[in-house]
Amino acid sequence: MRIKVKVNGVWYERDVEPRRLLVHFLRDDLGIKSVRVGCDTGHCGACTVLLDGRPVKSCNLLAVQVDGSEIITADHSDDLMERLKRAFHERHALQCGYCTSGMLMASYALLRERPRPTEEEIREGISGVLCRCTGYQNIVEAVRSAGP
Amino acid sequence: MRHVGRPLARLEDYHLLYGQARYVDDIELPGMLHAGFVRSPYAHARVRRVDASEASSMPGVVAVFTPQSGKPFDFAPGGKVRYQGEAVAMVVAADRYALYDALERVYVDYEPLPAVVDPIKAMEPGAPLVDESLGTNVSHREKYASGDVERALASSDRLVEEELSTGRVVPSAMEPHGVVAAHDGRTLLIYDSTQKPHVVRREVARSLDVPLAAVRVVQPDVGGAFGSKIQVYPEEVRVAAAAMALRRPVKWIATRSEDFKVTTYGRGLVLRYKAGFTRDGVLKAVKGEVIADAGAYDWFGFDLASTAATMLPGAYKVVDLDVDAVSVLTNKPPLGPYRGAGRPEATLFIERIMDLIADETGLDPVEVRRRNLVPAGPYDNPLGLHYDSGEYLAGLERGVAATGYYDLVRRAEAARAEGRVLGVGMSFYIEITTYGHEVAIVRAERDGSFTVAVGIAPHGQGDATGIAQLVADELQIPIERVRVVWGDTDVVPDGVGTDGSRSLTAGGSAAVLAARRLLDELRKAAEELLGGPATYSEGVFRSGDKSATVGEIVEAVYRGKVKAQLEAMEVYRARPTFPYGVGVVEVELDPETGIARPLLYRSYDDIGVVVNPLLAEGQIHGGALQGISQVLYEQVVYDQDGSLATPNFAFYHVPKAVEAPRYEPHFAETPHRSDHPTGTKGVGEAPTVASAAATIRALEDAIRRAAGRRVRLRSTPVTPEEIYRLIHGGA
Amino acid sequence: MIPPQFDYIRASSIDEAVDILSEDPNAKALAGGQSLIPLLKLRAAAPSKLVDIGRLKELRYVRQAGDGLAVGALATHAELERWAGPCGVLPEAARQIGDPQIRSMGTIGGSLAHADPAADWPAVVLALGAVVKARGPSGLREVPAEEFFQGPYSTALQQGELIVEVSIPRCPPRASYVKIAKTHNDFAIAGVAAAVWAKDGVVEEVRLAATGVGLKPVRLRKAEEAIRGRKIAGDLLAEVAEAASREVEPVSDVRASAEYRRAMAGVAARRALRRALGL
Repeated sequence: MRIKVKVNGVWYERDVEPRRLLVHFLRDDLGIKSVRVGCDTGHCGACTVLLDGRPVKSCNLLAVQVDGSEIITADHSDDLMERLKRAFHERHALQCGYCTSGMLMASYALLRERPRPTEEEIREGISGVLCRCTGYQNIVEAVRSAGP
Repeated sequence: MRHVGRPLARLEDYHLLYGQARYVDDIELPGMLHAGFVRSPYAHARVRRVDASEASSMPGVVAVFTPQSGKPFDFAPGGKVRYQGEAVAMVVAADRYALYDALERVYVDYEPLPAVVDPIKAMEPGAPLVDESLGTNVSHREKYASGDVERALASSDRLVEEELSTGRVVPSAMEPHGVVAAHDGRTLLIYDSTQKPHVVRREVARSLDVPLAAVRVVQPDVGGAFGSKIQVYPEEVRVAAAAMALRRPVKWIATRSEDFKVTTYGRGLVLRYKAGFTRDGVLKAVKGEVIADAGAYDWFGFDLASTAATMLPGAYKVVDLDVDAVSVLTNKPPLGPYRGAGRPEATLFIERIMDLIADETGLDPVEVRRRNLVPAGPYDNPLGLHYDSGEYLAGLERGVAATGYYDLVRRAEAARAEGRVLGVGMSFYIEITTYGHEVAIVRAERDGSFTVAVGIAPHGQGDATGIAQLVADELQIPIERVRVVWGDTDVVPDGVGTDGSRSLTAGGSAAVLAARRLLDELRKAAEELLGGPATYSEGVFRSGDKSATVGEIVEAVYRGKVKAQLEAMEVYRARPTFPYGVGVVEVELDPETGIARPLLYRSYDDIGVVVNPLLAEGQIHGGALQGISQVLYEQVVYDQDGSLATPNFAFYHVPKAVEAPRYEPHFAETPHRSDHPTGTKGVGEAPTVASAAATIRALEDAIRRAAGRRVRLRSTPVTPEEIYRLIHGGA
Repeated sequence: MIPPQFDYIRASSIDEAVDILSEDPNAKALAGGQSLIPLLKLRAAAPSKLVDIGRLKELRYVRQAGDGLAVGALATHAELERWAGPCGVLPEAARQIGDPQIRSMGTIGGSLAHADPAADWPAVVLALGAVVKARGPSGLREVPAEEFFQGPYSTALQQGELIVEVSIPRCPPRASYVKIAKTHNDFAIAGVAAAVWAKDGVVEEVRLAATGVGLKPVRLRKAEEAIRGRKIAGDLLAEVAEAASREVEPVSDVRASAEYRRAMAGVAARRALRRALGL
């Protein structure tokens, strides 16, 4: 099936099998490797992207479902994303880095909706992304410090 | 100018943040194929026949390897599978999607056999045998003893006999296992999600009978490991063999569900013991056995049991000991190292005993530890370990003060008035880190900058930043002029890799010594060039009123004006060192449901020199959560047939941000150095060692407040349901 | 993992979806996919076709309807989480489902049709006395929530039928949903939704419904009886808990034993009622 998807501001048109997962479309068809696979049940959130502005798990969607939609990944650059990346670096909010794209996307979605979240809101906002390295505290502090 | 001791942000971050990370699944090679494994649904079964005919003829399928394919495709050794998920065949296909279709079309005729799941039952006569050739499921047993345990038990005022256990955990690195192999006719190139590229190299060369020089292993970015990527798995060798056989690059990436089947599991140790103590709270003797639920193959089971056995006395004065380390085969995935690997278990066991003494004597838990601790190191532990340095007794006092333990106890008491149930637990730990040799090469570049190649294989810990700090200080130059490379067997000839909290200590010491040696070499050249004895500072050699920069000397070597080695390699033998400290956990318990959440982890750790406090604290945070989570959240359940009832993240819980506590780490203000050049002792595992023991005590404390009576917790994890029953009664 | 092969049809109308689903018993409707796609990936489901109804905008709404509410089948958990109108129990429950990403995609209709015996919406719609409106080959059918759930992953929907709306006739003035789960927003050990109508401090009407404590979500009728017509006071709570625990028929699984689920049904009932009544 032919689909057309806008990813990080660029339109892509590709033929895909209906069963192709969005995460494989992004990684293997478009070469956007920052979107990662960490599980097969929709729990780890390493594959989180923004779909028309809402955070979703790209391993829990078929590519055909997003035909005509706009996707943003952690490769997207704007002021908020840059602030987040800087804060993650300064606060040591990443170790192995595997969850980092997912964390950035979940935080980005949260801060777009709530620029000044409470700690509780941050923890809830990133609750769909698992991190096994950091214990989360530095991520929470990075997200808080990345606000306006 | 000095870098050591400063909280520098990591040099490793940029590519991870900016989409340039390269984990093994990100690697694409021309013509690359995808491999997957057909895995047994049974925990124990004879494999009668593997029929790959249908799979072989499916579109996209390139090859199917079955037990008939011979080594290294000798799946199901002895004609049987020994745990659910053990591989019986391997399919190689043109893409992932075709691969998974084909995996379902390999038909295996199994004859299920009775499985043995519980290690204690596995030791009983008549239990089904995992490996018939041994005639028993006890794979290895060794005694560690000192003093006269029987006499000490007989002369004790009080005796206790019980069983303590730490349930299996799934390490759950966020990146599952994976490997890519390619053979260009001369070189076997392997990209592997591993903690030990040089060990993979040796194992692959040995297994496939190719010269070591013909194998290059690259560790790309690795998405966490926590011990689970120490073992060289059969899959890694088989993927390499397939790449050679098919003359095409081959990739295998485990799915998460597959990772639950193949990865080495952690913990899984039981202590059956008898102990004696005096009425004033002094532990006199421990007699018992540490039993490892080794799984189907005793890859690490015995090592873990023996580490836990020899560390069992901790820093306590008890000398009358008789502890067997036993590894027992069961029909489960093999046991392996998981953050702490034997020390969290030893600490949980001995701290459970200290808490029991406190409860039985009515003494304060801190007082019990005070009465039992060896005042200071160096100390020779009665089971043969040499503790290098530390003030254990003073460390306890400082730790209790720094963590505000008694304030937290008071807070928990006060919270009762607000209707909240809090619990506080503390632990004192000492643990063993660092072993083996490590290799570093330092090279001087033409502009006076330096490249440092190391055999350690960090994957998130930030050791490259730490080593850059150490080497920059050693060479008295800005850190920007030092680049650290690792994770490639081509850049450094050998190394042990990253595990055992050893990387900064062993790898950093090797790097510091290599830098020192290179400086000596450059000094000789400088003296020849400058015509007299030279001093070195900040990248410049001076002799009288003449001077030459490192860059100028390197330049002179290349121009043939002077001869010198521009590269120095250090092979450093790293002896163990022993960090110690105090961990305190505060939990809140919902007494109506039995659900407990961690609120706070505070620690005081003497880890020797702290090279980078930002990164060291990061290790404390993450390591503490793993220890806490082992007690509160992570539960592996098998049914009686050895079938895993918690096969993925839908059932096995890795904590989320909402379930994690605050962390407030403190490091010793005047640390006790190790005798390594770095003075470091390691921090990767210390928080996991300390936190599990403190968490289980905090739970006990909370349950006591809720139930109005003392309870004794003997195993991890402690489920909400178990807590509910302890408070409200019930079967 | 990787889903098996299937055909994919993006429905452009409800009728088209109903036509395809009624022709092929192995076809499945795809709404948000947050339950279905993981099942496909684990190869625990192998439909012949997926009929993607996700773009049927006419099914994606939440609006007031008289004293009640009409919720389109494709309203997402995230949209319900942000709903600020009457029936405030909807956002309260929505927040307890999964995580933000799951809530972005998952829909109320999809959750009801999936009928996981420990899911959240089933208890809520039961307590709200909702009516599930389904469109099938023979037109529109209204199924009271009471009759909708028939067992684990089993509903009154017949082949070719699609949920189009969840209709809540009357928003209760006081309502709450309390879930007890081992971990944050996990499937319920026990979840209870309470809807209460009170006058002059007396409970006039009450509906309590529980999830996670049996093969399907259930009304807690004995617990309701224990408080219907009674004066609102703290001592109601203990009776409710006792009755709720007694009347549920939970089963043991890897998450919890039947006994623990039974006990938690009581706790959840007590808490839901306490919160609904503001006690």
